[in-house]
Parts: sequence; structure tokens; C-alpha cells
Amino acid sequence: MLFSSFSRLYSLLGLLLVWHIAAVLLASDLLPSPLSVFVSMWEHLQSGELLYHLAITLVRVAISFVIAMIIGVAFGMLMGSRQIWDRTLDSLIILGLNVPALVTIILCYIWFGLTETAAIFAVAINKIPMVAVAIREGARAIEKEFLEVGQVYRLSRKDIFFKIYLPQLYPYLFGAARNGLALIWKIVLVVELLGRSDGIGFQLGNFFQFFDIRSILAYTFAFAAVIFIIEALIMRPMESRLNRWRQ
Amino acid sequence: MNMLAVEIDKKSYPNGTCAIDGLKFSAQQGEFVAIVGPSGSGKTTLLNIVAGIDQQVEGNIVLNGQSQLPVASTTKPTTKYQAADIGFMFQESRLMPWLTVKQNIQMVMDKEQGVETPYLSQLLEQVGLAEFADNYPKQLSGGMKRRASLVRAFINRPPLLLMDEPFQSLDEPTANTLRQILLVLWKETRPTVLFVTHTLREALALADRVIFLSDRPSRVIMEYRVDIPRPRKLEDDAINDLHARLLNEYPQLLSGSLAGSPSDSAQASTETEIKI
Repeated sequence: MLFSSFSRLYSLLGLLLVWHIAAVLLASDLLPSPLSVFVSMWEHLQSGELLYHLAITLVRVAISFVIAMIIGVAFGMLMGSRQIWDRTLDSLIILGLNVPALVTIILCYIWFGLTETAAIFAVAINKIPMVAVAIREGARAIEKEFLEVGQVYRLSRKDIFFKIYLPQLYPYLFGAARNGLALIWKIVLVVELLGRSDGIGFQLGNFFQFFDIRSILAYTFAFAAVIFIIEALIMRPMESRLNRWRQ
Repeated sequence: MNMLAVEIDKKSYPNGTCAIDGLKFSAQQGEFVAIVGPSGSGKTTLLNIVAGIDQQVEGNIVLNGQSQLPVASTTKPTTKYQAADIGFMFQESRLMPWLTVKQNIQMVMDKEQGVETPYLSQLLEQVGLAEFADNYPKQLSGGMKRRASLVRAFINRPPLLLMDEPFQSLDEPTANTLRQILLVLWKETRPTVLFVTHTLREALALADRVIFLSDRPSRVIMEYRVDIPRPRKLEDDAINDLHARLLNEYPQLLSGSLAGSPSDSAQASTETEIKI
């Protein structure tokens, strides 16, 4: 456990080292050194503006993540367990998976205005089909034999769902959640860039206007650090707790 | 009064194959009934119907004077067994792999009883699983998993216990130990047992009465009361004699393509599906 945490750190340190050497060798404004990026990050932090935009983006990520997971999981379960729903919704899902995120974002902004709701709706719409597909696979793989045990022993529907059905879906839920988080924050940045006046995406757009590569990297790393923390403190411990029986 | 009355007029599979046709029998309170029949004769289907897993059937199951199946097979089932009326041991252990042994048992326990009862500890002790209560099924041997599922079947002291070839694919010493444990637990709480097996010798060693089923479509071809006093063992002379006599007197039990038990040299030459 300790070793594996350290080996994660080693790869990051390695990357920083390569970056630093490349920056020194190139000696160009196009690739600032890691140190200058961290100095820039510190300045943005001190001014308070980094935390402000970071918080706004995180709230957007969280809300769209929750909405996409709830709707996607519901559709996935329905499609995995009822063939009629699977057939009915399948074409919509394929369409949803293949329409570029940019198109949905632009259309949402045009139809619903440059509003917060439109932004979150656009992000969720992009993610729902992926969650649904992952959960559908899980629902198809549910062992009917285990459900029969619940039936024979007269467990309530609630108990059958939470104690027998859901645990079989956990690996798929985790897969969907992890991919979801990674994808959603990327889409949120695009949504912010195109139609919001705050958030990390908006800020990156501003920095781009001025070719401020240092700030772009500072914001990117600040956000990546948050995702790392979520992964290390929430996702991984939860996953290993739920997967204890496999060891 | 009979504790359980089974009257299945007809049961067909979704593909149209008739599995059961006019199968009737009953069982007394506390009676140990073995059901013997060739593979594919619908024994598992029969237990699933009695357990209420399979309700697409014409007929009736009466448990303690209460009808358990809807009148017409097309209507939605309404009345069900009260919780804790049935214990079921499947062909496989069917323990939830994500729950520990103890959690698997607690999952099916009556909520009113609470989940930390002395009976749970006593049963785990009796089957030799006390030390493994917090282990996951993956960490247990095949025999230990069956023990856990035996405890799960008994934990609510069900008046009816359904067992579907519960000791198959275990090595003989393990199976024998489990049979002994089963008999001890059965004597303590006296549920009515329907024990499905395709091994006639096992049926004779365990049951008060043996019901013989025909090949598909399944119906009762003979019932036999076993009068040998307990304790009995699979290899007892009395069981051997009865076994040989039954097969001699009722050659129809061997009809069809019955497969012989390789471990039984005396009958090894007889090709039977009921293991003898």
C-alpha cells in the first residue's frame, strides 16, 4: 500500500523532472519551467481568484455528475433488465454517444440561452449515455440465482435491491463514476469557455487571449490536484472497501 | 392433517416442453421425504414451484391449509408464504460472495428476532463454522460453503425445508458428515423436508419416505416408506438389502436411461440414471 502510493509519486516526480529539463533546454516562453508555474499558481491562489473559479467549476462538475449518474443509472438498469426498454432506447443511446459534445453545448446555449441551467444540462446530456451503457452491461450480468435466494427467503423488494442486486452493480457503478468524473470536468471547461463568465474554463479562455501559458498550466495543475485528491480520498478507499471480498 | 399438499396438474417450460403432468403427493408435519428421479425429470422445477420461485403452473400447493398459488396461472400472484416459512438449500451454496458467512445468514433472518441471536452462534458452532463466521465465501472450501448454506436454511426454524441435491459434487466423507449434521438439525427442529436426490441410496439413508418420479413429463410412479430405524448409514447392511430388494422388486424404477454410480461395484453394470 505504502509502496504503491510512493510509486505513484515517483512517476509524477519523473514527469516534473523531464518537464524541467525540457524547459531549461528550450529556454522559451512557450514552455515555462515547473517552478515558474508553481509560483504563478501561488500568486493566483493568493489573489483568491483561483479558488473562486475552482470552486465554481467544482460545483458545476458535482451537479452535472450527480444528475448524469442518477439518470444514466436509471436508464441503464431499465435497459439491462427489460428488453423492450433496451430496444426502445438503444438508438437514442447510440445517437447520444456519437453526437460531439461541442454540438450539444452550442445547441443548448442557443436554445436555452447562456444560462447556468443550459450549461449543466449540456454537460449531463453528454455523460448520460455513457453511464447508461456501462450500467446496462452490469444489469445484464446480474446473477438471477442470487435474486432467487432473496425470493425464496421472502426478502422485501428493498432488501433484494440493496443487498443482492446493487452489490452486483458496484464494479460497473465505479467504472462509470470514475470515467464520468474524468470526462465531465473536461466538458465543463468547454461549456465555461463557450458561454460562462466564471469558472476555470472561462479563465483559461482569458489566458489564451494573452498567450499566458504559465497561468494556463497553473490552473490546469490546480484542477488536476483536486481530481487527484478526490480519487485518493474518496474513490479509491470506497472501491477497496467494497471490493474487500474479492481478495 | 397434511402439512404440505402438492397437486401440480401441468407445468410446461416456455419452449412448450411439458415438465410435470399430474404430479400429486403430500407430506406430514416433521416428515423427511426424499424425492428420487432421473436427471431432467423436473425435480428442481418441482422444488421451485413449491418455493414460489416458479408460479407459471396449473395446480395448487397447500401449505398448512393455505393455498400458495393463484387460481389461474395467468393472474398475478397475491398471497405468498409468510416470511421465514421456508428454508432452501440449492444445488450450489448460493452464498452472496460479497457478504461474510455471518452476513449471508443474517440477510435472511427474521427482522423481529434481531440478527445476533444465540441460535445463530449455536448453529455455526454445530456445523463447525464458528471460527469462519467473518470469512467471505471465497475463503471457504466447498464443504464449508454447504455448511454455511445449511445454517442459512435452518436459521429461521422453517416448518418446511426444501433441499435440491444439496450434497452433490462433494467428496463422499464430506457429504456423509453433512448428512449427519442435517439429521441432527432436523431432529432438533423437525421441519418437513423435501430432499431431492438422484441417489437412491442417499434417499434410503435419510428419509422416512421416498417418492419416485418418472422421466419427463414427471409424475409419481411409486412411494416407499423406509422403516429402518435411525441412525442409519449409507453403507449399512439394512440399507444395502433394501436397496437391492427395491431394485429387484420394482424394475420399473430403472426404466429409461439410468446411469450407474461408479463407486457402487455391485450395481455398476446396471445403466441407470438414478444412482444406485
